[in-house]
Amino acid sequence: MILVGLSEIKFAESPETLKSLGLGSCIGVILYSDRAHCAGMAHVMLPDSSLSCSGSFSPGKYADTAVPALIRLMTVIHGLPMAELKAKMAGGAEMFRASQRYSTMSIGKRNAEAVGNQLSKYRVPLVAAETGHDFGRTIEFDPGNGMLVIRTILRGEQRI
Amino acid sequence: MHQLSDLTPTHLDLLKEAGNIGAAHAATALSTLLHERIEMNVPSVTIMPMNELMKKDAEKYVAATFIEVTGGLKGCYVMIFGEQQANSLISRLIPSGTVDDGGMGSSAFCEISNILCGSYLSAISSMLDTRLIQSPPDFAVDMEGAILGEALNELSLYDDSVLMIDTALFHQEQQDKLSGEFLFMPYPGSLDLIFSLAAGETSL
Repeated sequence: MILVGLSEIKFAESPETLKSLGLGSCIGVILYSDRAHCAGMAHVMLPDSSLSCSGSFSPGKYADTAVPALIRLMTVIHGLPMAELKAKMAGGAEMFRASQRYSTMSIGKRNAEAVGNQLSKYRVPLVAAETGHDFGRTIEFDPGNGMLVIRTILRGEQRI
Repeated sequence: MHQLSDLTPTHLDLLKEAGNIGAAHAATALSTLLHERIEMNVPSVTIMPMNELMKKDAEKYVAATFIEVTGGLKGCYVMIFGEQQANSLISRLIPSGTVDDGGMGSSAFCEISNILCGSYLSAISSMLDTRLIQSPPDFAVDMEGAILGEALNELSLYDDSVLMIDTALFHQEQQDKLSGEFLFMPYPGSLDLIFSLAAGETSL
């Protein structure tokens, strides 16, 4: 099992799995190839790198830098054909209940939209997604069967 | 504007002392509220990569509140109790309340964090001779990583690391039943005050 921490991007080949713990408003986005049984996962924290107030940041932190970096990892570094790649994602919740800080739209929802937009921009099909609501998720992806397992504290387990 | 990487041991000591005074006042406030003796540990001041902070107890079931601090220092204040611990705290004030009841229990938890944050900040505010304003608490009960991840959203725009003043308050005899963690995380941009204090430009 390979842990993908905040703002990180990691690669795994079956039988290894990729896991991200405690996703709140963050998004876990996975690009994978069914044929090659391998996958990359990014733990995205925020929607757009233009929000950044610092000069340097990990590419995995923002949706608009994480998705291109993930595609590059799969195609350029690991030599997979772009046409083989498919995507799944989970996360993008709104944890705080009476949030007055994000009055317009929650950061979780914006994250999910931004990742979705990036995927369509690069024409990577998003085959499954489980986003939104107000609960935390731990996700684990198995490149062997392309299954994403989502575990929560009170809402049980889901496979997509 | 100062960066986290500019901080020297002198600055960290100053922040630690601020945390120490703040936490002592918060511990006294909690003792008064519960009529029981509450102890605190010596605060630690660390600069930690955010992904390490999140890896620690990412899946732990906790109740947490988030308070935004503005004024002379900008930052956020997070109070975290294990779910059981939060219930044990609440039951001392509202016997039938739980942290997740969406009523008196959760409300009491928020009010406790409001009072503790208030005493923490007023102590820091007089030590640093600056005005601090706190927002009403935001509240969540779920995985610690999920809650902290959202709380750190705004801080993460400035740096991949976070400056954290960390204190634990606990019940002297029943440490397993009642202990909580308090994090104060100032924004890098508001450290100018700390730098001018340390440089002796402003006297305490």
